[in-house]
Amino acid sequence: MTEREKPDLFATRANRLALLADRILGDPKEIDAAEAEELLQSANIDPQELKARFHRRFDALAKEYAAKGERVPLLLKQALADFRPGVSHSRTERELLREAQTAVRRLLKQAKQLPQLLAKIPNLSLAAAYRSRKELSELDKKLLDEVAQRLESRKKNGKRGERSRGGA
Amino acid sequence: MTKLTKGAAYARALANELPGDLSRVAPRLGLEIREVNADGFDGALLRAREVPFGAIVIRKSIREAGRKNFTLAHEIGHFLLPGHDQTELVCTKSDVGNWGDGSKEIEREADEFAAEILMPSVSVERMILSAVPSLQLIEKIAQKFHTSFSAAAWRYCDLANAQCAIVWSREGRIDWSKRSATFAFPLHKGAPIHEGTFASRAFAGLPSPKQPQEVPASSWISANDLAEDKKLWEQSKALPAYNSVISLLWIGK
Repeated sequence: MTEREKPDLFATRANRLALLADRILGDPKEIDAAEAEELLQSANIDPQELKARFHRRFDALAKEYAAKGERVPLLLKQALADFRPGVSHSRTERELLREAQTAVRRLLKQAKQLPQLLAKIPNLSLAAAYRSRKELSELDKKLLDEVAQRLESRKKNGKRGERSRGGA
Repeated sequence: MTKLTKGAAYARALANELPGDLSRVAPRLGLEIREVNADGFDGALLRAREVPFGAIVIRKSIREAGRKNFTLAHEIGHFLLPGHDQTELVCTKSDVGNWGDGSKEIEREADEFAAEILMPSVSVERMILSAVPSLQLIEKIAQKFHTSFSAAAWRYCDLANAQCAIVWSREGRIDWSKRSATFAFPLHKGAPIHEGTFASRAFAGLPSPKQPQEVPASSWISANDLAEDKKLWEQSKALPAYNSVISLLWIGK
């Protein structure tokens, strides 16, 4: 069984834990961060200390994955970021962080498939609004045009490379 | 703690996924880096609309490595941030690291991205936690994180708990300023630099003291409830290459 085919035990366990927590405490969406802190404090639990303990546990777990040469699961990475000491985010901030993380991961995934994606595009359309900017000198516009041409030729070369590999 | 901005959120997301030197990160995002002999812009981003593919163009003659690094981070910010894809992406000197209130929103977002990716808040906060405010401390931040002095100064006041502010003045007037969350007094863009400040002496070409000095608070701030004998600390430094003076002000012991 390859690494990719192995069931993601971390995610399975995390889902089970989330289900258990939901059954005991209700949906996390029903309480906000301030309310959660109040609940913990009323039970004599220091929220910051608890956060730090979680972070230490997650950090140790992430190091175990790294030591075995395995990829650190995304959920664990997310937990490490969320529980980092000194970081306390409101729900809006957490949403913003998640949105950013999703966008960055999507872009990195696309970047990995760049040769294939470029091959599918007949003509590259570069954002080149600089050509109409009055404060740029003719030299600046020429320099940017050269970079744009270089990109276009890189794209064409990449495409040819794809084709020749395909034909071989 | 400061509010998490969109720029900072995207910077953290990128740092989580691809930590390390930005000159190595850019190619993994589909971007090549080119340095050219431009005269009208500091940085530019040329990108394809359909796929993550493009080039970051940096002015070769930017003197300080820190400023060059900040410009690179700023352009990567434009590349990643939502809403920046349909816009003008050639950034002049006044677009990059211009922290004034009047700067365009997308430029501010790209600056915030650059500040967080180069100077992560957690690391800077640890560094400044118990340190006395000074331009030397800001210089240390700039050196440690390989960024420009002005970006480090802005970042310092963005994260400091002390009642402090950084003022960048050009040709005898305030160009931009950044106040820490606890510095309550306004500093108006365009306001003249008063005589009696060390900034004014720096503009006159007089040497600046190496240590912070006390000056009447009224020489920098005007407020109805300001006590006549109120003082603040000032440390100013001339930046002749920019025809500017940078001043750190703070209230306290």
